[in-house]
Amino acid sequence: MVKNEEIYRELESIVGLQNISTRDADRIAYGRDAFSLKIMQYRLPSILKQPLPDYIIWVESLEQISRILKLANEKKVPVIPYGGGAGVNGGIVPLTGGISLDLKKLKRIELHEEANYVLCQAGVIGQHLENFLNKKGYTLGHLPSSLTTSSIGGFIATRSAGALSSLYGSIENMVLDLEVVLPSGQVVHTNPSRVPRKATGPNFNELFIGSEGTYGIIADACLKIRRNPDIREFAGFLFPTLTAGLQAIRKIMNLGIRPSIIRLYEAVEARMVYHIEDIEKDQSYLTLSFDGYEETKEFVEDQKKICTRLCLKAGAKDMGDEGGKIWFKNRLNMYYPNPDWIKMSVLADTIDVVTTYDNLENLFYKMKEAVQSKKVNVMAHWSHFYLEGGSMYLIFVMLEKDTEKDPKASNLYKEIWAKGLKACIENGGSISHHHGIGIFRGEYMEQELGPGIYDLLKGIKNYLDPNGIMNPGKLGL
Amino acid sequence: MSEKKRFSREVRLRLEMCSGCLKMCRDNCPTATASSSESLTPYIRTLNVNLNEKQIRAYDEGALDSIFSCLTCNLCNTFCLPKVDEEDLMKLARASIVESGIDVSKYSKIGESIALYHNPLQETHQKRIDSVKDLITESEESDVLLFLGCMGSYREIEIARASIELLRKLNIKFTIMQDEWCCGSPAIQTGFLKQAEETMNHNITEWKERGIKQIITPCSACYRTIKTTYPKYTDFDFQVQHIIEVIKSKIDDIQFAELSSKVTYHDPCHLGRATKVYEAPRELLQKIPAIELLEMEHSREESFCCGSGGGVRANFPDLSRAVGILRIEEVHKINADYLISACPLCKYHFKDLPNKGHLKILDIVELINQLLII
Repeated sequence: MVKNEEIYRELESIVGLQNISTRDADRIAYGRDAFSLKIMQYRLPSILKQPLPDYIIWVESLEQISRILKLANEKKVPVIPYGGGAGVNGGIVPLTGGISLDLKKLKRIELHEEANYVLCQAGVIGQHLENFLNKKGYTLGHLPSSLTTSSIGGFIATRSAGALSSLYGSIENMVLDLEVVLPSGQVVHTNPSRVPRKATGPNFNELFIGSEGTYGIIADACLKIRRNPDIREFAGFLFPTLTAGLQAIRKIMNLGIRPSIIRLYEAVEARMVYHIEDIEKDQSYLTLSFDGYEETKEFVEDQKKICTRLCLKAGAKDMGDEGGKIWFKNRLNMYYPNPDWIKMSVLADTIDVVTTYDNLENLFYKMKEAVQSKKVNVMAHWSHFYLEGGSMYLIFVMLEKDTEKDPKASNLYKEIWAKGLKACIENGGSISHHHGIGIFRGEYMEQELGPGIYDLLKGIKNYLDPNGIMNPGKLGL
Repeated sequence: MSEKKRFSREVRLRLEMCSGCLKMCRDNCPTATASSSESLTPYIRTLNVNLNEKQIRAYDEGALDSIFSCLTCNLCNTFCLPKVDEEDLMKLARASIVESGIDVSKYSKIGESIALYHNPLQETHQKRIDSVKDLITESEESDVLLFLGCMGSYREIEIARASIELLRKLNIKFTIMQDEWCCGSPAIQTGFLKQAEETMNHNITEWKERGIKQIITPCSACYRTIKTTYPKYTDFDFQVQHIIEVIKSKIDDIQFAELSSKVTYHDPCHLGRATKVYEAPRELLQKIPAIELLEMEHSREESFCCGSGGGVRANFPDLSRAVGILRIEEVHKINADYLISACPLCKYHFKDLPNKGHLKILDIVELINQLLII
């Protein structure tokens, strides 16, 4: 059923009949991302009560986006940019209906080898860009777990980070310039000269990175590229305590060594990921990797030697490189559906938070205490490290069936999130490292940012999008 | 909606897994890539089936389009850790939809044609072997059957003729069945199982009556169906070979003329992923002097579909073309002069698509027949 014939006809005149749908099956397809709650709701009759877009639009050009936003502004219709639909926070869920704007037909890639950048339209799937670059000997250096399914626009809009971020940085470190269609329909470039740095006032890339579609639509990106490493050496260490593992990471970073992968696991998750059955509850397991090239082979070896020496001195046991190699090879496996978990109605999710070294361990225990119960198991790992601290993945696993009449699981799930986020804020953490805000975390944004900056967030929103058409209800806006 | 659950617990679990996946195979699904639509992804297809199965949401046209637009190429399964086997799920779903009496007239061209004409192409059955009649002599009696297939008989006649010539050059005695019917593959892939059974039964009966012991076919869909599906319907006791395997068995005894060109081989879904015949065609091509055999970005178990499978060419021609164009782009990227396949439908589809002009599209049987030195 078409919600508004007039709007439908105008949209159709912009994109053509082949690029618009109001069919229920398509609307359902665009109401879901990789948000655990959403996936659960899509298994149940509750799917019929979920907010869905009224129109699905596939855009083929910048001009079409611009015209659609002008129309949406005039008619006050919400617009939700849609890339891979792989976010884990419900960022693309059309809370008040409107237009789901699929960007995947924008898939042009243009390599500028001499300047070490690539121009890439927002709809390109991450793996497709990486395949393209790898063939030419380059990499973006951005390997999030959703690489095969999320889009470049999605990476930027959610402020994503990948497995190699400790060396190559997160998406914000890779963006040189963005082409953004503002809610008014105006097309702007955030750094039109594509220069690596400039002192011309604030960096406007940052205004749109992580804006989750609330400030405009990212249509094209100029991304830094680097030579694809020839070498990736792994190392693994078993530490007597979590504290020792975290301190070792800080010391490594202080030496100026930047492993591409730094992942520290507490005992419960280490047992599951690395199959170390006899790991003791206080112990922690560290995986490191070191990237380089044939020409820098010795440099790679030296970094590994120095880190090994440092870890052994801290009381760790050298576990060799096999664990890291296997983890890297199989790193996406845990994101596939697990038949045993489905049979048992297991629901698992991750609360990704971030804090400084001096608070990482404390934050874990406080959040664990808040979240863990008879029905909820908790485990964690730490990754994406910086000189000052790093992120923590608090993973919770719950066993609860849900029914339409008795939505136990969804209530418990929401409760866990609320408790976890509250504990995070109360204990000095920040509520998201790289998954973004989406729906649940929105209500904590004022606390997270502080009143002055939250007002600024809203003020910018009001300036750019006075009618509030862009992805309403996200980012706490 | 029927009150009765139609699928087994095991099938329901696979539906649940795929429809709740974090979309891990999206970057490989040919229809998802070509259409850019979420609705044409494996997990949304299974979501539609799952919701109907659970009696939450009955099939509507959008859901049916999503299900019937699957190429059944099963490329997603290559990248699926729990191996939900999307192709199998789509075939089960389609068969249950057809059986349930839902209006499937939009997708029934193939099934109806097989029932009426014994081929999916709405061609007159009596003319089936007209294209090769001049090559057949009455005296040819053998327990080896060359099964030409519908595409070979009506559309890719050169493949059928080359197959006959080639087997003769290799001194293999064979016969051709005057009353050959469709192997049933197009009906199986699109869910029209009654029509499939009817045509399979006809063929089996004919083969048994004529004492056939070995079946050779140049069509990868026929090969897969006769080899893997027929035994499920009958006490099957025939040796089945794709013609490539037959030629490959003679590799030490044959010589080829030179071909100083860049050649790439497209793995047909039925011959590659479904029956794992990857090396025989490559070994044969490698034996051609001066040939430069190149691999496309996606090959072997990761081979991209040509775009015509699963009834999509007949039912969704625009989507079918869009997928095919992606494959042709892969050929152009490696600057190949020849695109070689081992399936008449793949070749027929590729020929129909725009390319840069210089690309020669042939079946491997045609190429080998041209270059074979006796």
